[in-house]
Amino acid sequence: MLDKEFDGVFNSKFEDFEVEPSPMVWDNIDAELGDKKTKGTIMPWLSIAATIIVLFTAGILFMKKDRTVDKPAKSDKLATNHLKQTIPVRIDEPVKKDDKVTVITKSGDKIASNKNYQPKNSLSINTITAPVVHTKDNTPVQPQTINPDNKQLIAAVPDPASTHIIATVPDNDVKLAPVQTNAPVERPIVMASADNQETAPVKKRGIHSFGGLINVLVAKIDKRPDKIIEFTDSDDDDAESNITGVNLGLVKIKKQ
Amino acid sequence: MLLKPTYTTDELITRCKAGERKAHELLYKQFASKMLGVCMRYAVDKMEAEDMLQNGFVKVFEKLSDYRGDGAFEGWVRRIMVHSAIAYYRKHHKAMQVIDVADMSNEPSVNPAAFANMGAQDLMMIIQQLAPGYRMVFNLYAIEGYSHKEIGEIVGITEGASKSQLSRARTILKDMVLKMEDKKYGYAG
Repeated sequence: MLDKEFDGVFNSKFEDFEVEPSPMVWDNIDAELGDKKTKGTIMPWLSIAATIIVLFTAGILFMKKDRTVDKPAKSDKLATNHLKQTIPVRIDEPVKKDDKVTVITKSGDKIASNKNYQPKNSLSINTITAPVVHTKDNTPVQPQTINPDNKQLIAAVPDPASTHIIATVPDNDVKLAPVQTNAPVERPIVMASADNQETAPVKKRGIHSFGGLINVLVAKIDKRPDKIIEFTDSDDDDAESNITGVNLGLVKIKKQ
Repeated sequence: MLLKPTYTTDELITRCKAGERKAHELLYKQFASKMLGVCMRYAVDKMEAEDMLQNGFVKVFEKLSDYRGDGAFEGWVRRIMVHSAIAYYRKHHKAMQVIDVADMSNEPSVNPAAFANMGAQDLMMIIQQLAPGYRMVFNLYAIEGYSHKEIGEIVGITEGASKSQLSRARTILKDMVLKMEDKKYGYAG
């Protein structure tokens, strides 16, 4: 018997050969197809849900960042707190007169920042203390700028030379008295300009190293008092810029 | 007069593609018995054949979108079943056992008349007794009509190995047929 004939017998016998499968087979196929379908339909929804959760949590984190930005500005820097507290106490009184007084607070801020960023730099401290001495020395000078207004009032007082008017004079005097006491505080008007001159070098020292460059760039973007990252900016020959502060919103690290 | 709606194969395919679950079942039922007959030739028993059938039909439904209607659908399903059977075989019989048969110089001579009278069930029993490697090659060549080159690619053997395995498979089958003729039908070779 030839091979072809032999194969042909098998072929013809099996041509219509059928066997009924057990019902279990379809159940398994159906279950397998169902699993794949549900997987196929659930997966897109799962991915959508996941992205929503990610965006939501990211949103919450950023919201918290914005809230925390205000708090640390008051609590973090001890040096700035002291300066801000002392100066505004006196400023409250003359606020009515001069907006320039507010400039003093700004200069005070800058003095504070000087102290924070360059604690070891003796030169900057000296330059800061210098104007303070000036202000004391200039006490006679400043009344010249401000007092003329007051003096005009004072001058007006004695002119009437009547007792009735004298009664009004003390009121003016009362007002003037604190102004004069404030005079030494107002000295910083002169000092403020002096301070502004002094703060210029602060800007100059902004970039001494790579860390300083990063600090400047970060400051342009991050307006918070504690930047997202801060580096040392020293003139030392070591020239190594070390990280002094990190502010990730929830996590803050700051070297004093 | 209430009659169950009958669908042509093409209609069922279209409905399956549209995701109609009932259509999947109807399409399965239309081809299940015939395809189990195919799988039986590659398996040791019905249980193994049903596993092959299950895997094969899952593939058929998965790939249904690829079927463009060119050529007979039955042939397309059948090819998937054969590949499913080979994949199953590879997975569960990692080493293709090829039992060397003692050199048979005297090839058994089968009585053609007795052989032709044998039922498909008997022939199936004989085929299932073959070693998996021989069974695979014999099925693919003698019944499916693949060339040795194609068999080599599908099964992962050389063309020459396919040829020699087919030759040995035939010899074993002839011997088995002869024994069955003798035992069951009283013929002697």
